[in-house]
Amino acid sequence: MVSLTRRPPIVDKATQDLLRPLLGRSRAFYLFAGLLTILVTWFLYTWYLQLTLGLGVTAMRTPVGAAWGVYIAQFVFFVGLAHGGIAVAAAIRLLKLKNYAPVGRMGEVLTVISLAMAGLSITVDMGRPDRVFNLVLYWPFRIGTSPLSWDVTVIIIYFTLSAGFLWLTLRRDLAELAGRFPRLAPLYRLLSIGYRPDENAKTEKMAWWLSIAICFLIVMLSGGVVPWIFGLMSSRPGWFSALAGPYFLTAAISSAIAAVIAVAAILRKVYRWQPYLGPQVFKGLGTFLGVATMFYVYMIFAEQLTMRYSAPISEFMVSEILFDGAYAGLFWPMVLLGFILPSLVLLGQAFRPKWFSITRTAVAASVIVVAFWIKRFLIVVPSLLRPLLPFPQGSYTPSWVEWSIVAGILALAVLLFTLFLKVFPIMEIEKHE
Amino acid sequence: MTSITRRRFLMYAAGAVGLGLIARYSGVASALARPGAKQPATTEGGNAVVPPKPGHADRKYSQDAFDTTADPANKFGLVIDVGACIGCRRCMWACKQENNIPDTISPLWIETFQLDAETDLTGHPSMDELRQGATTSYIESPTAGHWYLPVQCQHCDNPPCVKVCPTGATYKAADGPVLMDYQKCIGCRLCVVACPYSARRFNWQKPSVPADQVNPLVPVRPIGVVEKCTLCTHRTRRGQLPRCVEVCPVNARHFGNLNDPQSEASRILKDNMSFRLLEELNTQPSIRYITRGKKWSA
Repeated sequence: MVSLTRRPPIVDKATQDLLRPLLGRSRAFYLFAGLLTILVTWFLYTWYLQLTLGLGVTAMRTPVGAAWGVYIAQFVFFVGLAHGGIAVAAAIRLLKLKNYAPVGRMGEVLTVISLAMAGLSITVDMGRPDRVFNLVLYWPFRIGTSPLSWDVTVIIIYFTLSAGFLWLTLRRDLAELAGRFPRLAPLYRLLSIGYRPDENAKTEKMAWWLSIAICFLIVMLSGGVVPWIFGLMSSRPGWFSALAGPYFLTAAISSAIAAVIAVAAILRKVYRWQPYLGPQVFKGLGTFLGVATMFYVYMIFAEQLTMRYSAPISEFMVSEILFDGAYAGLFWPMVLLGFILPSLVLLGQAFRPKWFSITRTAVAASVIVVAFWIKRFLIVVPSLLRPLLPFPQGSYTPSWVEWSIVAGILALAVLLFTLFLKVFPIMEIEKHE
Repeated sequence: MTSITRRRFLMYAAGAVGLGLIARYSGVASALARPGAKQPATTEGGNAVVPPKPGHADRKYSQDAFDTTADPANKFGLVIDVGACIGCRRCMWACKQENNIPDTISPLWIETFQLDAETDLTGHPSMDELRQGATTSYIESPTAGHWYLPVQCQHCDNPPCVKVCPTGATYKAADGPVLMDYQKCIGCRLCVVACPYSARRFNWQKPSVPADQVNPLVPVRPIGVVEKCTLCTHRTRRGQLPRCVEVCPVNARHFGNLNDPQSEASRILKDNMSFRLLEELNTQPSIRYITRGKKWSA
């Protein structure tokens, strides 16, 4: 093992600032983490209830009702979030966007955590999570035709690549910090095992190639296998559409960029990183988000027009659920207040620079994140409520167990992110030394 | 410190992939992956039979393992006469008893729709009816001005459920029926979603059937798995009729080997016009519907 040269204690202000989450011992942090832990514990308890009593404790039913519900909506949401994060990181590297470098690692962490949560959401939805290994055992026989097998494959590859990407780009910082944080040093030494300062050039190269691979995978996962779970089902009006791929891809990129903006704005405020996260980052990402969300609105329009103009009645009835039915109260606010209004705000800022404010950008982005969660729900559920044969139309309102589990998984994601903040540098240190 | 060159690493990796492929295609993996193949079997009338335990359906076996093995020379099918059907639902309830369907499964494996003159053949009630919540199963029948459409698993020749299954828990048997292996099923419900006929049911709760009512020839399903019509393979492969056909009081159901031109189903299909449900989806169902005219009056 290569011995690391001892560094002097931190002297420069920039590094001191960027390490604030690791150095700080604020009461607020522990309160926040404690609250999240309570939610996660509640999730574990409700999941235990669901495991012992069966999925009957949810509001899902079939064939009259929804066979999938908020768990699958949550799965699609997290897979979507997983994308932009790493897309930002990959784009920074491939296009050499130096300005955006400070949010690169936030995106990577967001990706790794979201993918794990996506996997958890699917597991929670399964009737027999004890048999989850069957997915691997029978994989060679089913990979040919089962969209779920495709999903498992791509998610595992994607998780490996993005975790590897994060690890590679983290090694240098960890090696640097090992001498400065004695309590965390064993962990840092383990993760930066075999580190040599001259590996940095090689690491850069590997990260570049990984970025290319990840860019392909973004299209394959969010624009491919996940939408194909829905888009290939001729049994479900509203899902069966060649638009599914581009539709989901746009949603994934938009929701994830929105999440990166929100996370970066919150961290900037909490850790007083104003000098390191300039308005330029928020301006650029915000404009992109405004355009992408507007494009998504156009796709909703194209989809709904096709489902209503001279469509089969099965398609029309699914559209009716959104326009004038059980979920109209979610659909219209989502489109008007969740997509159109915030993207107008973002685009307005782009055209009129003096209107720009980081707070406004962050609020618009947060609203868009929430709207995309609702959109995933409105993709998954209405099509399931209208079987092709003349069963009565079902209804679906998630049970308290489902809400507990959904909230708990969200809390777990935030908790993991918070713990990462506490243990690892979320901003690259080297750049500022 | 051992050093491994990139070239050598790639060679090892290629070798490992090659070995994997050999294992895959030489059947090693498939033997490992099918624990059912190792079950003890006795022979009865030339067919391998797994003896079910008396009085209790052992959950270790799939539906198929209870039955005489599938004979690929057969292709089981069903012809349903919607003109004759009086909507009495005897088939549904007999099926429930025969197949150990617990009370927690609703609707049952067979669902009978009551339709009327304004309703399309492929089953789309009028807009107003849909808004109100259309048909209901448990009504007095027959009632004037209505006809009845019993629907169960259509045992498609191009089954979407089989295509999407990530574990192979649902499969097309050699003699026609689409069956379930309850031990492989992970309960993801992708098949439920993929079935255009909504023929699949899910065990949201732990199914329980009173011990004295269990049919020992049919497994009681575990919690969290999908189940559906089996075309009574435990009967049909032994030369008996499916229970729903046996109990039909008006002869609206006809079972037979579609590969045999002399079978009842084949003869009826030869003499009658028939249709299949949602034919445009290219699922190629093995269940055909005929309408020989209304044989009853309310």
